[in-house]
Amino acid sequence: MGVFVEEVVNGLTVGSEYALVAAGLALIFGVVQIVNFAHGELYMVGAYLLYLVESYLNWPYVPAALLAVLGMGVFGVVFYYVVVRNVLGKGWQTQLVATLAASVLLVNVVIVWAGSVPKVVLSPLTSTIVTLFVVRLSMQRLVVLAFALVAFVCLYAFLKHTKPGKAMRAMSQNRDAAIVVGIPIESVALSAVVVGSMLAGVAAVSIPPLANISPTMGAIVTLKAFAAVVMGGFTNVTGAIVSAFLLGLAEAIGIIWVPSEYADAIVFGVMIAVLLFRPHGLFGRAARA
Amino acid sequence: MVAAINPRSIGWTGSLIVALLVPVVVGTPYYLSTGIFALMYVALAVAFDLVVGRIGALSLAQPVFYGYGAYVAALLGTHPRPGPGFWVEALAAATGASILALAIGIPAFRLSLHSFAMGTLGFALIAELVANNWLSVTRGPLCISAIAPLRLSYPGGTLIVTTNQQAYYVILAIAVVAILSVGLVSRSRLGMAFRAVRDDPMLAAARGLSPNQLRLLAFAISAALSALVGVFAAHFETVVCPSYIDLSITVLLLIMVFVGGRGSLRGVVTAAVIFTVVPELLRIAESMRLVIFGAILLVTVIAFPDGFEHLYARMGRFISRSRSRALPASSEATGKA
Repeated sequence: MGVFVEEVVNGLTVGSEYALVAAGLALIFGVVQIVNFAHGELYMVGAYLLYLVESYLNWPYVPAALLAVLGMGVFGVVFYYVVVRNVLGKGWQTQLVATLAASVLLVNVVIVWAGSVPKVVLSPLTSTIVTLFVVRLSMQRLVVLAFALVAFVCLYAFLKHTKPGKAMRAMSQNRDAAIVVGIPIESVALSAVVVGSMLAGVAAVSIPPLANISPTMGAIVTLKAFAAVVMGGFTNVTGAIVSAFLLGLAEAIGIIWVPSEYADAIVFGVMIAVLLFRPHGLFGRAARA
Repeated sequence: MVAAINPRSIGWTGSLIVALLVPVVVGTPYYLSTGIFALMYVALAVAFDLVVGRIGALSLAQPVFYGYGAYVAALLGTHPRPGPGFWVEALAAATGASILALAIGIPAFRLSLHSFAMGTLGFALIAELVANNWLSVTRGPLCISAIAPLRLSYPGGTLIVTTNQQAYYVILAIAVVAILSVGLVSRSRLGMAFRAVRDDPMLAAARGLSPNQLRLLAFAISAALSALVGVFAAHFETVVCPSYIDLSITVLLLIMVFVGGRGSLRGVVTAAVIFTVVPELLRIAESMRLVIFGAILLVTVIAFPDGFEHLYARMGRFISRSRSRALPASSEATGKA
């Protein structure tokens, strides 16, 4: 029983990681119809920003984390102007390969700059142990869940109640109609990319203290987040978040039975199965957050 | 008839002659092995373009077939066993890879566009995980080493490929086979059907073509050609590792196909040679190499979507224009062609 509860908590932790990345991926796909292959690399860049602020500016964890999330917002602006804006309206192959190229570029720039040896990011809460029901776990896991919860509440409020949020939903529902009613699509696209990068940034400042960071940490996250986006029905942000948590749980609980080397295969196996039987995702096409 | 000689065929013949002369001129084994890698990537990139450029499916599972071919060769012929020789290995690799292509393709082609790309990437990652963890067969990250040299039997004898010169001519032959098969396929009615499916699957289906069957066919041909290169690579490098299935190979192939120009045989071949030979000659460090490749790929897809093919097309127009000025009488003929 203790193992099971522990794996559920683990599943929710990795689920939050995938969900934060997947939400940004789904949002960007909905608004600009671009699958951002480099989204996991935004997560990686965020983790290195945190590392930079902590080890060079010597800031404590909480302000460093906030600064890194804001930094990711700025990075999102750069990413929009260098990559996304230049391939808007081009063929989907061009868009996909452009973001793939961006991901190769980011990974290897970080390798050249910081080396491929994993780095340690500190949080005072990693070594604080709390006892929950029957299991003892690191406080940082609860921080991850809290960060993810706050991020999703903010995202929901933003999409539901603010003007740019409504504009994003309008654009992902019907682009032409959005243009007709005078929505400034370029700036909405920019803000979607910025929001997406900041969500990846939230994952990037909460997860890494539990593990190490390395330049190649993003690739597998992109794929798992994409699996969640596909399962959620592509432009459906809520669907992507729910699917990401399901995938995280499947992975964590699955390794009770499957050898842990094949943990990644569980996620892709689930994704392929879902695509085969429900090509439009678990939640169909109709529902949108 | 001056107009009858196509500048395109002059280019191909000239390149073939140059390629045949390379081992005679290049003495250093290191540079010759660079030539061998270049030809391996020529064959792989041309095969990849059949799927990406001709039928319009962005598969990210291409190294799976290459790696499969390499593992087949490695398992059949490791020291002290000499292996059954090239033809049997090639047959086993090519048929096995085609079946594997159907196994991946039948579910994957139910998906479209981005989902297809991501689904095939999922398969590629699972394949790499299997190669890394199925220790009893692949030896995982320890790699299968000490693979026997390639044995090429022909009527009247057997050639054991031990020198770089011999290996060079074997891979040159494989590259020529790849270029010829993709070239002939794309000029045939089948190639027209591929193009129809790429440009408008719905319309192609309405005209009685079956998009998914054609896609599977292109996917299987491409897989068989890649597996053939894998067989050669296993014997040439004498070791086969899970890194044969790595995403970095997909990235390199994407660069070659996109910088060369999708669906352009001459462009893709040029790009494959340039992107294997130039980094070796400049001795760029591995990590810097990928920074530069990433930047080139990004700039190319944004600014030069047709890649080298665009340059070739302009060059061709320039030549035909200057020729029509020189021979005003035949201008109408070249204009029509």
